[in-house]
Amino acid sequence: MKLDRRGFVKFLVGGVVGTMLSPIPWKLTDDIAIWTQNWPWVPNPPNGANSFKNTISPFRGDGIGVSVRLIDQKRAVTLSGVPDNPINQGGMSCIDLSGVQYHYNQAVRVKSPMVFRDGAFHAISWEEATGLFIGKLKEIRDQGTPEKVALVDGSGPGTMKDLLGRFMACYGSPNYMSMPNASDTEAQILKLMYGAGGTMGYDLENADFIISFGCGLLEGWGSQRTLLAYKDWRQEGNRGKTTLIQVAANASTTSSKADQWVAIAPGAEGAFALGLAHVILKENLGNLGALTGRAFGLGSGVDSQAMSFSGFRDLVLEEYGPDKVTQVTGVSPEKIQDLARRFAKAKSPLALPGRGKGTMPGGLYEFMAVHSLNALVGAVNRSGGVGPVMSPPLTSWPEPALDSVAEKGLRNARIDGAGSRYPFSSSLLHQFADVVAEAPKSPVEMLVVYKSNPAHNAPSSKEFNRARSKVPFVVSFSSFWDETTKNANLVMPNHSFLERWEDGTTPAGVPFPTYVLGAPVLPPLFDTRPTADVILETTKALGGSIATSFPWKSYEDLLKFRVAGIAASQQGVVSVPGSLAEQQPRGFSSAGDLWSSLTENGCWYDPSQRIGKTATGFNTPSGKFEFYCNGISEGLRQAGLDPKRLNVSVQGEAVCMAHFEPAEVEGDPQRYPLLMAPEELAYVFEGEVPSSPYMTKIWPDTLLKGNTLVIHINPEDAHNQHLYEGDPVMIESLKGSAEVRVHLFNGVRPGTVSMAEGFGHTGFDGYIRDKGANTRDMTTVASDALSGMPLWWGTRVKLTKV
Amino acid sequence: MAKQRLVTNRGTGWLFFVAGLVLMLFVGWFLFPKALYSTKTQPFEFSHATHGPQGAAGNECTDCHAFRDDGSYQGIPPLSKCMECHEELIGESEAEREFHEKALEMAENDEQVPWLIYSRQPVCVYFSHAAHVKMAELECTSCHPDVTNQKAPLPYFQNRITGYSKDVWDRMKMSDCGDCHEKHGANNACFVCHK
Repeated sequence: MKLDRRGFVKFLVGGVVGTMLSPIPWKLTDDIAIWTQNWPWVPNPPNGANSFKNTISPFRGDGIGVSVRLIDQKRAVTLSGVPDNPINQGGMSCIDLSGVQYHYNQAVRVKSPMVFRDGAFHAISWEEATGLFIGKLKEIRDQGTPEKVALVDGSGPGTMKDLLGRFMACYGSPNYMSMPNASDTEAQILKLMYGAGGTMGYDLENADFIISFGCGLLEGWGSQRTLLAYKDWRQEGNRGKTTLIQVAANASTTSSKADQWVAIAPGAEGAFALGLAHVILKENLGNLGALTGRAFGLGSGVDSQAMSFSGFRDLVLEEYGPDKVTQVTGVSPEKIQDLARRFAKAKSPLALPGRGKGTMPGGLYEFMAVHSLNALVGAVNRSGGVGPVMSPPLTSWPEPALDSVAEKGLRNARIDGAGSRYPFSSSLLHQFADVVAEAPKSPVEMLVVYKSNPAHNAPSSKEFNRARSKVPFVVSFSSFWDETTKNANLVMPNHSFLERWEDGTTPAGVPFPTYVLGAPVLPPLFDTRPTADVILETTKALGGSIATSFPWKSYEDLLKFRVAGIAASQQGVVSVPGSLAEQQPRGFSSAGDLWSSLTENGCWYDPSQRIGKTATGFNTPSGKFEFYCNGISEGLRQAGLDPKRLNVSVQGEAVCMAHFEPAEVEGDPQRYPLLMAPEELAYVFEGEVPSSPYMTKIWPDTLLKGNTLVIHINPEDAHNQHLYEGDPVMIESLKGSAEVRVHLFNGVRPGTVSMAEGFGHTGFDGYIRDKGANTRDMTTVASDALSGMPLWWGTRVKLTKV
Repeated sequence: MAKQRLVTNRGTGWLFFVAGLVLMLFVGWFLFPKALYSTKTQPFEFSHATHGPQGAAGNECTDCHAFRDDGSYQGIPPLSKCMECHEELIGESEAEREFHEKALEMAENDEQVPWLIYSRQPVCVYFSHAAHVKMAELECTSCHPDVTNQKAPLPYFQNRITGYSKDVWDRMKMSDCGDCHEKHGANNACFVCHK
């Protein structure tokens, strides 16, 4: 036997068969697959002992309590809701759940102070950065023009907001602005109809019949308590206990989960509320007994300016009959009558104003209509109703010392017209943008931006960016490379929310006062500083009356000063583990005890001040709830304003009462035949930061296809324009255009287009950058007739197939 | 000539095939497994028999392998747990003296004993001991060997390619998890283990 070529081949074949019958190929394949998981560049977080620290998540501005899971006390891995925080009770939104991603994401964090010079950003030291900032502030003040500094603040209610407002006042500039929000309109309602400060609370848990006028209850309206209330309504055993009626133009998540969706014409919410009020008054269905002797302006009377009026009842009975309301809203008279009767007969009816997540301010008259409706059914200051919620009893700020420069500066009218042209508003960012953009020379020398991204999120971001480009010096305190920061001259990055002190007072809608406090959980990752401490340092450097007005060494000192007020009041309780579940909240014995409870568990609240539990008066000129607002007639008179100049559509007494203001949407309906409604979704976030990388994983193809945004249109409109599912189209308004795809959806009202907000970023990183289009780049912003608040619920657009 | 050679190999040619087959079967089943794993020893000579319930120390298993207060599982105890007893010398054995000295040094440097973990899983796998031991009430020995009477640590066979222990291959592969989940009607979806 000799090994020839043929024999060798047979040997090889035998070897191959033998190999295949052995574990070699199969085990090697498996091991190589596992080997790839352990390449040195594949992230492999080290294991370690768990520990937990409580703080608050500031992304949504509602101060929810979060528990941070730490590995070896130095690496944050997850956030979960604190079960004993009465605001969220363990619940969390998508952005809070994935918030840690914004702490560690090096691609989006600003790692040190930066200055924009010679066409690029350069890292500088903190000494140089604060020197530049303070030097510029001194220079402007030395010229005697402190009003030329403007500030845009995106923080929620809390000490930081007050600190920035106080800083601007002591510096001498009236131009402190906040990002627009439905709470702004609520604040005006509180003042005009209730004569109250604080916040507006809605006792959702105890209401049994709720009419929501476009509120995205499941999309993020109000605080996390809204979702918890919804969960309670729908829990086994509670079915049928609470009825939810959604009055909205589109089939949102809330519409689809409501007991009844009333599809109305966009912008007609106010008319619909008044239509319901008409039926209630005509059929005498209301519960006015609850307001006997405590309501002003329902019937005839004389106002504080000695002007006689016939009252809200006559106005509504004359002007808002079901037939007339049907013409405006598109809802049949029978449906209006039926809903009004069911609403009025309920034990605890409640009407809610505000569209979407509440980031868009509403029309003042529209909100007045909804609150008038609440008053008619006795929902004001009642359990299961609505009413003012007092602010937590924090130590009051000492009276600020104002020097002559500050006093002179503050005598100037605000650039945005709030308080002068629009006497009922305190901040109008879109008006500011318009004025600065149109001015031949910017009236602002320095624009400071804190915790907001107006270059992307301002009601009309294009106008804001035009204005910003005219301002010689823009300072950003952002922790992130957002669109505003990318276009700033100086960046002084704030600590991340896990590294800084943060607090918050009662969030929107919560029916009792709350105060939350978050202590730093981790040491700073980068060369950042807390903005609050930078501001305090600045006040000391500016000296004089400004330094005197800010005696605190650090932000922590200031927070202790504020919290001492709650301790002194001895009101309320603190949450401790198990306190909510066992319904045994704990009191506190001293300021130190309260401080340590707050830093450990994060929350103080006062359930005894819940709506309906305390007798609340009305601090209006009449001392009553005002259907007819004396404050409006007084405000207009003091400002020397004629309602005609404010484009209010009515005359006489109706100016002071809730009525329907027809929407004025810019653009030629012939050229732009469709109405684009921006849609806020639960799983898309827009605020200080956009949606997190984790959130992008849950977006369906009907929202974002590849990197192209998908808009929703009614099949009828699609048929008329020969459009089919998935077709690429150009959506164009007076302000801008974008290429998108279409999705045919019967839940969109014919004649309208639904376009999701929160896309079209050019900042941040590849997870969100260059995905979709920004609705704010194409919205035409209308100003509310009386308050001047921005309204952008509808923009005329046309679609062109590409 | 060609015809003659064909006739010659017709009867014996299959022997070359068999030789190749047998050789590779031998390599694949005998040599390959030996070559694939390196043998490592634990940093210290640890006896479960001495530490366990029937040993001199008389500990319960859960004294060291415990659930933390938050429900997560501790697995191998940290050095601080060992130091609760071994901060002072216990007995006079060489192994004890060596451990005591090195443990003190490691504690001072905030280091942990680099125990080789037989059941270490890839980081892409999420496994909850609480779900299996507390909720499903499985015995520890359903997955781990019974070490109650083990006097010295078993040799640690480390896969030269993957770096994982051979014991994971034997009884803790994904298919083992999947089979058990199927058998007990537990959720077998990807995201149950791969978050």
